[in-house]
Amino acid sequence: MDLVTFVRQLTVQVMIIAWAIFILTWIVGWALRGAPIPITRLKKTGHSLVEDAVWAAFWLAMGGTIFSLITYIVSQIGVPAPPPPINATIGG
Amino acid sequence: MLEVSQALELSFYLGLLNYVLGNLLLGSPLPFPSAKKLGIYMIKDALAIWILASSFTIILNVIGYIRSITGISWETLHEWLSAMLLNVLSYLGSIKILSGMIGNLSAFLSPILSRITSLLSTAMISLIALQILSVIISTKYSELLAIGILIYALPLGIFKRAGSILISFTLIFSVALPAMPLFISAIYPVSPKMLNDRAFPYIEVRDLSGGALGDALLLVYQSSNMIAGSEIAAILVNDRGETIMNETPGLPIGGIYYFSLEMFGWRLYSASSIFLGNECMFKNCSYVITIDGVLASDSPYIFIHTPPALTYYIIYKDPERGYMKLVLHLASTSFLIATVPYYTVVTAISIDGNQTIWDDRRPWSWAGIDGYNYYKLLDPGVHTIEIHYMKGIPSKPLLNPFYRVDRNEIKEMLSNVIILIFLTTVFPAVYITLLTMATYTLARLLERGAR
Repeated sequence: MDLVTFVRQLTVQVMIIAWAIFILTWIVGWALRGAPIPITRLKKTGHSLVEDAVWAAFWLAMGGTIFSLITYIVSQIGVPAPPPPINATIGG
Repeated sequence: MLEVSQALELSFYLGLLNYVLGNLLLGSPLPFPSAKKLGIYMIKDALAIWILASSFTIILNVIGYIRSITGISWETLHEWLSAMLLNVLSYLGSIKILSGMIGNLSAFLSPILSRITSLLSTAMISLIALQILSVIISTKYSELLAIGILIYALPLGIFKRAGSILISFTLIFSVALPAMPLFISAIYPVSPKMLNDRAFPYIEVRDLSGGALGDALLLVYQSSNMIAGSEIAAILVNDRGETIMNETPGLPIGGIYYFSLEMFGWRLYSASSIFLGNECMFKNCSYVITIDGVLASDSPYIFIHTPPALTYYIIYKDPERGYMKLVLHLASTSFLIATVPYYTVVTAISIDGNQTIWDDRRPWSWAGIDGYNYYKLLDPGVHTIEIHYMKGIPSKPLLNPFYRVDRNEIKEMLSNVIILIFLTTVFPAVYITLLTMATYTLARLLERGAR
């Protein structure tokens, strides 16, 4: 197995874990927020967990888009630079 | 071995891994804000990695563009380095010979000279190091850049600093290192070619009929009248008739030189002269000097002088058998002179087919070798002379080469050497330090990335 495929497989596995963790966090967050415990700090923690999890899920879903956007922009810039001007006189 | 495209592909995927790991950390139910912050950093790192990896060709193009705008090329640097190396090497040789010449005379100068020799060796090492650096960067800069991006892309940003230093090193050095000769000529505007003005030409000494004359001293003059005592150098000639120039301080460039040969007690003048042009400093100039006073020779066993009234000649030589046949046309009566050292015995001479004897025989002694000059008076007209001789084991003459070196020239040479040492060690060190500082600044910028 070569290094590139290894890294790709690792990425896919990590992505699956990340989705699972997102669901876990989302549930934990809502559970904390909705729990009948009269501690504001706990509820705030739950809220921030939900918020972060939603952002993480958003960026995770957008990952491919961002990647292709960067590649597209760079490939648009990446036309080879024009040759430098040469001091030449025409005629003679 | 990792290819450039493979390294770039790998860095793309490592960037993706960074991104996903960052999201994992951000989305994890860990109640630590630092872990979430790390996650955000990793997402931003991934953006920087993607930008770097995908703009690889743009970076290479920009480097090439800057180089073509400024007109800097690796060839300039390589030429400069090799010219400097040549200078250092020739000065090393000159100083070594100079210290050999005056070491016995002056106990004061020789430690200075040995110090200068060690400084010149340092200069040589620094030049070689620069050459290695320039060769590595000029041939491997795309690989270095790709490896830098790969190291930069390793997850969690562990080796981000190392990667960004490698990237910025490659960028800065591949753009700015070839400009070093420009930088140095801005500080000290003297072309390195002007520093050493001595050349080491390859000189062969021949007799009139083209045979090599060896084991002798070649006297060098600067004027065509060649007055005894006005020699600027006496250079050893080896047994193949080649001058041993690398043991001399060389001859100053831009002069015309005239020669005579000291051999077996005779001083034989040459009508040949050589002009040493500037090009002889960089390439090996070779010359052949004809000693007109010697008609034919089997060096170092025998040589026949050119009779003054000679109009034309045919020469047949068989050195293996010890036989020489000369057909001479003489305009007037003149002497045939043969010079032989003690280890050669002339067994027979015949003129026009008749066995004869020499008219006269006079001994000579020169440089620890004895021998005889044989004389035979010849009438005008065409004569065929055959000489048979037996060769013994030749002994080397004890010759004292000398070089007249001007006091001012020594002074000038020492000051040139000091300038050369500055040009090859101190200035490049300053320049490389500046480049290293630039590298660190750029590396810090890159390390921050998108954070």
